[in-house]
Amino acid sequence: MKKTAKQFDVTAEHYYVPAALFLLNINVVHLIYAYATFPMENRWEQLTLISFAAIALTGSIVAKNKLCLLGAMAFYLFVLIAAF
Amino acid sequence: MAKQSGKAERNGKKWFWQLHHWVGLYTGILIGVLSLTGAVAVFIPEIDGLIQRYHYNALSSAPSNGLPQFSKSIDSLTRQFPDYRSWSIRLPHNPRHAAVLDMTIRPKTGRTQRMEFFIDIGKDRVLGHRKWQNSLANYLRQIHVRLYDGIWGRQLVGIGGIALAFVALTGLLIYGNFMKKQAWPNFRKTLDTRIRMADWHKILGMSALAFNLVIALTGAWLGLQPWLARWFDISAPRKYKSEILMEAKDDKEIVVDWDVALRASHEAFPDLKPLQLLVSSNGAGTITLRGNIPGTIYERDVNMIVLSKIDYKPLFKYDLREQPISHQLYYIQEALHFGDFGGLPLKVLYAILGLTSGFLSISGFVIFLFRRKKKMRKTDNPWKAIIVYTLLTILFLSFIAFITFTIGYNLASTIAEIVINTLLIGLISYALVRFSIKKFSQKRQFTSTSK
Repeated sequence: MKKTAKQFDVTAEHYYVPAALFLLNINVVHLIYAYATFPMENRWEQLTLISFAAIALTGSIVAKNKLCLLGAMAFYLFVLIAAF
Repeated sequence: MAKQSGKAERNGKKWFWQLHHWVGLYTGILIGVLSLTGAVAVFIPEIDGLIQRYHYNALSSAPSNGLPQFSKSIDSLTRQFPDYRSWSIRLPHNPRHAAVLDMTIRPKTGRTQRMEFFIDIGKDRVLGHRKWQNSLANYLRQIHVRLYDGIWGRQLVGIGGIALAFVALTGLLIYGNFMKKQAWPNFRKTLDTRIRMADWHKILGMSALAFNLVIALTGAWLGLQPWLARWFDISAPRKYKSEILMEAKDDKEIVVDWDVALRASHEAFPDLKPLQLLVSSNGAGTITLRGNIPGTIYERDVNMIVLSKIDYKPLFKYDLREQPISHQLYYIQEALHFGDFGGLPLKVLYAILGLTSGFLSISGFVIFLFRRKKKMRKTDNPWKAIIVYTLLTILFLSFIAFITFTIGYNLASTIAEIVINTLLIGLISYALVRFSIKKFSQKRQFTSTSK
């Protein structure tokens, strides 16, 4: 059976993945900061949400699914805004 | 209509590519040096801590009452150097480390010197000393912050920050065009060095884009601060002007009870972790305690409390958490730039991501040279030029370090100023001559064809 070429989603590859990578950069720094200050601040909820956002962003970049990418980005943006 | 907009978009992308190409080519070496020195500079406190511990054997024993003891050491040092202009003491983050007394001495003959004395805060005794300017910590800071060029090195670093932000943003705008049907993070299967480097350039550039933008923008702000402050009349927001209450000589003679001062500071500002202590010597009769509030993302020692030397009552308190957002924005830049807010793991991440901009400047140069080789059908090996430039840069950095440690900061700084400014004038002249020749030959071609 002839293999079909994998679908190439230009919007996801050229726009959503770079945007998710951009947020993942911020998220990783945010996550390390949250872990470093955890003994002082003891904010379980915040640490859990940031960790979950890191997993969601990484997973969506690997999966390259438009909905997952949008969802993960929106979720982390919400966590980031709520943190301030 | 759609055809026209497509053409305009293509022209726009071509423009962005041209800007990315030329800005990257002319500032690549500066970005590369700043990336390398910056990746080391984030660890300055840790490196200096190791030097103090292993080279100077400067370790503290535990203080008997829990509070750092250094009054006797300060007293003996101020008697030993009566010509001192000012001093401050830096308390260690780790209680096993020594405190550092930073003293500016202005002898009757000779130049003003900044000396550092290491103090055991348990036994209150001086363990050793060094000249601050010739230390490795100062070298690492000065080479990154001003490239050792006192004339306008800091502003040059700021321009490097703007250039990095510019190439990062233009890189983002042309990313889609260059990836075409290539998915992130796939590499094309080829042995062509230019294509392999181009893949690394695009994938790494996109993966560290946000980080590089933050570093670039905060670096541009920190570097261009002297100019920006002058142009837009910006001054450091933390202001405290003390009144002169007595003669400078009388002020210097007041003996401070540091236990009382530290307790008074804790009572008035409990969240402050005092790290830098200063006493007035101009007649103001004050003790200033600067430090950090754990868990906040601001530059070091920005929070402060000023006490009276006479009765230890608070005269001024600066808690950045209570200040307007403009103050917080002003003091967040350095912490964001050096990653000084998440412990050692964050510094390691900063060093790794910081090195990506250096890699991008090298890979960009490799792509340029290999493309030029193909276009002009040259036979020389582009790697030779890359290796020569890299080795010369490392040689320059090592030579400046060697001169600093063996002869002194002043000579090293003079040499760096001559080298950097000569190179800069050469680079600008080369670009101008090249541009003029190109324009002149285009004009000649046009007139000969029109005839």
